[in-house]
Amino acid sequence: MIRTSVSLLLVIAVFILVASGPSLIRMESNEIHLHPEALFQSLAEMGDRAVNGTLMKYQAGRAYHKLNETLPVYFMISLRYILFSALLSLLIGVSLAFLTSFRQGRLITSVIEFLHIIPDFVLAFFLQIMVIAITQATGYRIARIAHMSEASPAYTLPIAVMTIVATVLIIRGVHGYLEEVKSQDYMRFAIAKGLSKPRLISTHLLVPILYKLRGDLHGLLSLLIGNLFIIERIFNIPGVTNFLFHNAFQKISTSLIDGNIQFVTQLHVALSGLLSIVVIYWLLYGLISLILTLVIRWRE
Amino acid sequence: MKFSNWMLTAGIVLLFLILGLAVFGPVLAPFPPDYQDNIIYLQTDNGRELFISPIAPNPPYYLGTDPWGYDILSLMLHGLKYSLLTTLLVSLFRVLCALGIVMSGGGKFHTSRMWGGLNAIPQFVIIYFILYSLNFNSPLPQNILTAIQWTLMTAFGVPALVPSVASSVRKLQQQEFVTAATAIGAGPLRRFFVHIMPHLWERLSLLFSRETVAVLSLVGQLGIFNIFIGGTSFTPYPLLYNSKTNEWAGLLGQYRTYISGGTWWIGLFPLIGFMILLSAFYLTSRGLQKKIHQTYHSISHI
Repeated sequence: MIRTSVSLLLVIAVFILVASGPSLIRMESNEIHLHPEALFQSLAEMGDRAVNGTLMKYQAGRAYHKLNETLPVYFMISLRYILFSALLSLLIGVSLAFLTSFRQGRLITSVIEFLHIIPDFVLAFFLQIMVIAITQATGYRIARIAHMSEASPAYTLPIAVMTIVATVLIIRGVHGYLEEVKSQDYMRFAIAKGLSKPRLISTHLLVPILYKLRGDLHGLLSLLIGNLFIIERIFNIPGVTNFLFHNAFQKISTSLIDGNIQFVTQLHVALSGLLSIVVIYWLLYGLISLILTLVIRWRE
Repeated sequence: MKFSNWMLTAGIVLLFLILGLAVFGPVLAPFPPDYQDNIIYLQTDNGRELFISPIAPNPPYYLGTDPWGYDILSLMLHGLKYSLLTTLLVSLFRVLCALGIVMSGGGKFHTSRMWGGLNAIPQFVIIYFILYSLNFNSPLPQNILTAIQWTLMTAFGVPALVPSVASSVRKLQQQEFVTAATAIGAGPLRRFFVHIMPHLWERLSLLFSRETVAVLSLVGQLGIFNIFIGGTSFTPYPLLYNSKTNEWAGLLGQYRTYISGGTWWIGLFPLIGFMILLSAFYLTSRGLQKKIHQTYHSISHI
């Protein structure tokens, strides 16, 4: 418990340091200046806000909002996208990996390998182009492309991008593990005992694979969170990461003489945004571990 | 090089072509990078016609121009060297730093599970925060800003590489030939260069090639958030973020909103260019991996 609390405090300390980055490192008269005192100023300002009851208030452009009113909405939007994509990619990823692992060299393996080279943002652009091309060719709109001006975000393409990227990672991982597990001696023993192929797959292969997947969950979730940042940016989704980027720092003026930019940092906004993302991460981690553990218990 | 390993062959050939383009690009480019042509007359099937930028792909603008009249092909040819150099150098620095840390006895630490909290925040977000006050309209010389960006990208990539390098080195250090070398009095430098490095070389080149893909993706992600290699020029009215070096991920970032619009060529060509670059690195990496796998893999029983 103490260790967890200390680690949590350390993570918060690192976040404060990261969120204060733009105030700590600044350009002044064409030189880089470090301002360690800015860290304490930001903290003191946050303390002041806590004392005078404005900790929840933040500036977004020219308007003022309350964190306790807006952040939960952003949080739920992000959670919805990432949770749906995570579950969908696990289901599709594991099933497809098993289906394709016994027929190596087939088309699907090539498709997966091809998809693997494409980063999330490129995939998002290609899917947008594809949807527009299909709409122009057939007149049938298979997915909505959201623009800045539209109030409601698009669902199909962002979730498709996140699911595809995560599914590809899962399939490649599971293929690797399957190669490893299939060459184990206990597999040879099980085959020698005459166990049927479905039995071999559902217990001897599936259980160790799910254990490995559970062990690798951090990698999958890091990827999904990274995707979330990109997807919310490209598709203009009003989620936590967009909240963080739009409100944590605000360019307030640009000097006409040298183009130098003045900006304000809202440390409490940056911190709450970063911590919300960590909460999403651990919520997902808990939920998916639980699901995997239940399936493992059931099959063991 | 076996014929079956077409990926390695294709990757290396593509990389050499890209290297040639990067070196001779500025000479081959039809226009200088700051050449701007907003209104031009072009000879079409209907005779001499007046065009206002953005101009669709048409000679002499083979890949078209952007809304401000810059020739996209010229921008890409001038910017390629920055993309290539960034990818290769940052990947090399990452592998060398990881090797340095391992050889100097580091890399034995274990990370606490709670640090998973930091896992949740992607590298590019932290780099974005650090570069936020330096990158936009930076008065810093371009080479200094680029060096800072390279250093940050290296620093954030090394921790992930250290365990992988450490496990390879430790495995080799436990080999009998290293013990024998130690027994007959070989010093640490001799052990490293003569006995360990020849075996480590293959593994390190694979790690390097994988890093190239990761670095290029990272540069692309930063580009999506308007952090461009070499600096971002920013204007508030109209709100514009432009790459100062015309590096490909930067071009992709600055033109990303045009990809799904009517002036598709503005975003599509940088996107295709970026994909070709990424494919070259990826094919090389996969080819190398396949080559190593073919040499050392175990056999499946089912």
